[in-house]
Amino acid sequence: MGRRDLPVTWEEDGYTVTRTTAWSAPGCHAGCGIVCYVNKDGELEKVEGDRENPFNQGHICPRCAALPDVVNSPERLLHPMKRDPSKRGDPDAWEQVSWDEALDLIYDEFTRISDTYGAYTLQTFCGTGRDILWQSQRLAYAMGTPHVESYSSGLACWMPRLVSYIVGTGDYMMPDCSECHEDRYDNPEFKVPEVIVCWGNNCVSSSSDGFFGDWLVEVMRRGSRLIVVDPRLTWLAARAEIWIQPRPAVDSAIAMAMLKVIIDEDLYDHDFVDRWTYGFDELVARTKEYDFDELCERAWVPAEKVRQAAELFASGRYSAVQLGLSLDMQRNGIGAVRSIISMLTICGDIEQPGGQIFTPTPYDFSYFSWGFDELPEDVQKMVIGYDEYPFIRMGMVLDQPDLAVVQAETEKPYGFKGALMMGTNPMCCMSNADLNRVYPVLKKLEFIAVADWRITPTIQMLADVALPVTMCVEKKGIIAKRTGAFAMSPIVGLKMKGEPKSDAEIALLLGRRFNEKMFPWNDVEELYDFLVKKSGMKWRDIREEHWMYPGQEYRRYETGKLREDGQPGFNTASGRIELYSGFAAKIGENVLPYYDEPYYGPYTTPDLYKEYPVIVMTGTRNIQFFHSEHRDVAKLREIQPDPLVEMNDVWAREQGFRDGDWVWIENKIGRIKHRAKLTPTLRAGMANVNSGWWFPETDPHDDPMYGCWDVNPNVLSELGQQGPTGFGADVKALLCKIYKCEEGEY
Amino acid sequence: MSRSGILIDYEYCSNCHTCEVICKEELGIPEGKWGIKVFEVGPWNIEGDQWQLTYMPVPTDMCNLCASRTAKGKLPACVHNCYTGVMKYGPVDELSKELEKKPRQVLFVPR
Repeated sequence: MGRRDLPVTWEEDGYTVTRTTAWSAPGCHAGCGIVCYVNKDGELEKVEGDRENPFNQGHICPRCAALPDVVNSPERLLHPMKRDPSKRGDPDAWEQVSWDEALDLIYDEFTRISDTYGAYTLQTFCGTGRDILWQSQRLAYAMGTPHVESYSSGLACWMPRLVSYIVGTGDYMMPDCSECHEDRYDNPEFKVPEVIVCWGNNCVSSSSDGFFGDWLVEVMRRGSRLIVVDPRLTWLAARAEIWIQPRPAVDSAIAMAMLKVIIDEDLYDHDFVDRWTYGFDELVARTKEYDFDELCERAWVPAEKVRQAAELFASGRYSAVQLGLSLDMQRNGIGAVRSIISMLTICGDIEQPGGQIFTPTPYDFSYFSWGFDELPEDVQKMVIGYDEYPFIRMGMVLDQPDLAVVQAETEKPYGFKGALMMGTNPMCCMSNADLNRVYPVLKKLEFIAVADWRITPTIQMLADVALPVTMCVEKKGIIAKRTGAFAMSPIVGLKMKGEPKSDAEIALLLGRRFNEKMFPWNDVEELYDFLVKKSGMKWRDIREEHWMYPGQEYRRYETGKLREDGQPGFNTASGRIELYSGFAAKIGENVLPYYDEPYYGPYTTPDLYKEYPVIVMTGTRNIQFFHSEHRDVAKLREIQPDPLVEMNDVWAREQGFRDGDWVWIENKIGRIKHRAKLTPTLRAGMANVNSGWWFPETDPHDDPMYGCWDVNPNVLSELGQQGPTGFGADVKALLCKIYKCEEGEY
Repeated sequence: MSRSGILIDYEYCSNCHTCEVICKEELGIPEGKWGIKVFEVGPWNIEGDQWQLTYMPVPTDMCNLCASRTAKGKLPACVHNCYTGVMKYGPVDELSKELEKKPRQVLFVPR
């Protein structure tokens, strides 16, 4: 269903108004409904939330509120630019070129590289939250290379959660906050979760992975009881009935301990376990390998609190878990996520109203690795980690980053020679892998093209061609979220400055040059028609209806609607939820949930911990910034002008730190500086640093990195600590020491 | 006609700053000044597991209750766009009845 009765555009008080979806650029994980006001001069003057849109119901975050400032930014890249590769880092060496010249140059250089060294020496890099996933992936395949990169150690962003769900239940799941119903909270089938756990995320700040933070607040207002698992006292934690404050990166201990309580105290749903699960006895045996008190002690959480949380969780007729990024950002995150999935499963919360629901991509829109299977089999197998870590063949096929950086360094069996980067700024983020190793391997590439909307540290330091991309209000596009599909088109009356093109258009224009068979479409609209064909609609139909919700049914495992063969059950090999994973067994992975310690920590490396006694977390989201974006928007920057390291106030005062002091955060591979923020929200001996920072106000003649090297925690994140599946990296538990900057160091 | 005000259910204000930014866009207020500003009360431990951490959006003397929007029947920009939907606009007598229904709310009458 959509809403064809609502106008796309209208006139109002001298403004031309358009209803659309705000997605990419700038980046965002949500894609909210907005209403845009264009003035008589053709400028986007105001944006407001679309109250008709079921996804956000009129609520917006400050980034959409400030969207006019981004669209009208004087920093916009207006034309394609080229620069001699020998002049990388020189802000005066850019030369404006036409689109044809820029695209031909990319084609010629990549073709030269392909002819000289082999197509497999080419890479594409994709960011996140931008409309660049299928683009960067299909383009790579069109060029004949399987190498799609995000130099993000352990692919520690969403992928560990995704594969854990696929292995256990057959598909990705989210808590049911009515998000899949077009009529939302009014839907007669929907019930609010009796208990909801917000685990390892602060979703009101991040709205990540398609989960809009306000939904959690709304179910709280409607009576959901809240448990929060977070090493920081977040705003949500302060409102939780139970807040568990674990040592960072040992969520697998908490999850195993809770699972143990539910089993030992017989709090689970026997009927569901009997009928719909596989491997329960093995799961019980696994929990018996651990001692409850020891698990809690290891997590530094009072055992009684963990017990209460488990009992509260199991008491809900239906309970749900909003699982966050922190679970990915620890090497044993998969062990934790599989324990949590087991808790949800044995308590009978799966596919129930107000429980944990499957949220497949609507209408089967193919977004991930679109075209990978069109590569010859031997080329498919060149994906780095294909043999070592078979999990990476699931979900989205990316190179395993820790191995890929090593291959790039050693050039064994071969190195890389050219890269196309779309919507990514790996000098600042999306490469949570030792920047001192990532920068050199990028620098030695013979040719790099980057598509973005402004000059970033990555473009200034590395690009030979920079392609200007459009904003969300300037392009045709679609976002298929895990709730519904939402389309966008250029807002009416807007006078676009310069000649930016959308990422889809860039992909099409380049794709046609490289491989017309894989890009047979004449324009972006034809391409989108193809992409949405399984819905039985055209792209324009969806645009005119604004959004399309496939709708949500519950307990589909009873009706056969989860499986292609129409049989009751789940979309797994056994047809049941696999507490014990036969698939994992086949590929030599841990078959059951588990607890394990971080790579470095008080128990694993006590000597190192003595020297670096502060456990530092990174990756916390601030709502006013999306990753490395938005530091150049004055209205957003004034909310937080500098990167902050949060430290326990009592502890920090003992060290002689005051609020606002610049301090160094140093570990065994590097150091960064942040301003101190003293707060009781963290335990003594723990700290939280910001990610994604750079200083767009910097004169690039002084520093083409725009100060990012000094503040970027990727300088501290070591490669090669990935979890046993190739997924997960301990960026939530960096062992560091903190000391004041000397005068002149800030 | 009754005076109008803004009722804020501050229990659920999550400190997103949307009201601050959308207000600046609407009224053209520059950096360093605000038509509405969010203040933090806390964090401190009250006792045991109880924590004080509240955010309170406060309309300033630069707030005109979005007179030009409300004249056209629209809501003030902060009320319309609030990320967690905690703000209500209306006549003070109606809003004060709402105040009775739930604690941790505050009614502002900026002008």
